[in-house]
Amino acid sequence: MSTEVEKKTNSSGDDFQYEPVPASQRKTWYDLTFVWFGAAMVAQLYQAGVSVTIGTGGLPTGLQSILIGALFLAFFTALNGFIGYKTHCNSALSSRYAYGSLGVAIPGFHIADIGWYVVNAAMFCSILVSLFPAVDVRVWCILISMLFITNNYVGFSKMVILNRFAFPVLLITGLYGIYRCGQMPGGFGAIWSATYPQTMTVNAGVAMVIGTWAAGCSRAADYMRFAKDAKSSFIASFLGFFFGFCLCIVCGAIWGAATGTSVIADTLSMLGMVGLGALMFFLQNWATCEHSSYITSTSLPITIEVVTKKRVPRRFIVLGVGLIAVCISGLDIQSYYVPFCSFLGYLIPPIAAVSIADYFILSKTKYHWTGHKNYYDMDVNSEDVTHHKFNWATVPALIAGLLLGWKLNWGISSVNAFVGTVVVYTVASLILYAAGMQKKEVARNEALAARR
Amino acid sequence: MLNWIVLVVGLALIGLFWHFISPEERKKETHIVAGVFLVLGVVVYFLQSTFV
Repeated sequence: MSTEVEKKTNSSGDDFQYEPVPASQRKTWYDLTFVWFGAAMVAQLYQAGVSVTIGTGGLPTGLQSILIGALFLAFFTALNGFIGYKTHCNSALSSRYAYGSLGVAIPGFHIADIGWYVVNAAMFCSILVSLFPAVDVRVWCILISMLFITNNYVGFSKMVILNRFAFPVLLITGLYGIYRCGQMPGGFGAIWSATYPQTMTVNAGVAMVIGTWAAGCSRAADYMRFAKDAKSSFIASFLGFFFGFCLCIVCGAIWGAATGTSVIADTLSMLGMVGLGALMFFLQNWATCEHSSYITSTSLPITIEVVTKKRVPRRFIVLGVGLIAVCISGLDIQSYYVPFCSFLGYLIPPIAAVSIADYFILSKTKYHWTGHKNYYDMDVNSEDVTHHKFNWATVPALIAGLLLGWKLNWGISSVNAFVGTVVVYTVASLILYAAGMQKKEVARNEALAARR
Repeated sequence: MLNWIVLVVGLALIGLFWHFISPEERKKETHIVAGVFLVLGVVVYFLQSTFV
């Protein structure tokens, strides 16, 4: 769900896209906790809860996957959010410290949210078809793909009202669904003991749970750059995210255990709440798609600018997202929801893990690639930062992290990808330090100082 | 036939919605983009319903 903070600043036409958030605009932990609490609650978590419960064989194993996944995500969010607080810059901009002014094109190439946009639109259309079966799902997909870019393309600032309605509807639907589950034969006792054919392990379930929000959590700096102090950042990221996330996904898990189907439209139908569910998914998916296209439109221009030296208006990126969705959302994309989440579960953590390792480990030592002390206290747009072009240690770290998450059949893939990236990045930085990379950067620093 | 009607009318209504909410200085661009979506939507649906 888009947030108040983001929308207020965005609708005023100034979301501090290319600069740190000024002190006058910063928020307390109380404000930010509710912002994250709302942001973490998205309708797709119901689908994820249903899928993970049915896939892992029942509610106990589903909840186990959810708890481990949620703890990892909350921790991941808190670390990313802290970098946002420290730099007061959005995710793409703060990546400049770790990746360099050219290397920032890598995290800026954030196309995962295009996938989210398409999947969300397609999933909502599968529910629409159960309400209006006379109309082809592909027609709905084309219409909804166009409709959901309205806010970001045309600029309808009143869309923030949509988010205010979406939040209570989401909460009421989730809790009403649980109430309906309790009224089914056998009640909650039967739901707890119900078993289903296992199609994924608990570890795979954890990876899927992490995949639902890995992309969003890697963008925690977008929100926490508004934090007044470190405490605000940590409390808001951890508590706000953990409880908002768990509330939705656990509701979905219980729905899934009660109905025994992983198709959300069938789940809503069996619980007798297709109308309420459709309203919830409409408001929520619109808000989530709006957020996905916004995130893409703030990241991709940075990569395009690095590659082509041209600045593309944000709304044209949004337009591209809508056009892609029109072309492919009708191709039964929602059936790829589980593999897509799993893929994001090991693709996204390495990209953010580089920034985390750079800030929390290497910037505290003399081995930092730029040779600066207190590098993260420098202005992101100053020449002291921008004249460092590319950190080569990021390349082996990203490749290793991706491969470890993808190919290692041991443990939890997202955790493997995250830890692997941190370790390889640290080791690669030390090797490049020994190879003299830092000396070149220090020479640049000295040349810059001599020019001043 | 119902599908084609819903598609064309739906795309036209969204275009009309965009016309009313878009800022004055971008009305012309909005009209062009809405037109592109209308044509693309028809082409995509034709291709998907014929070949997929």
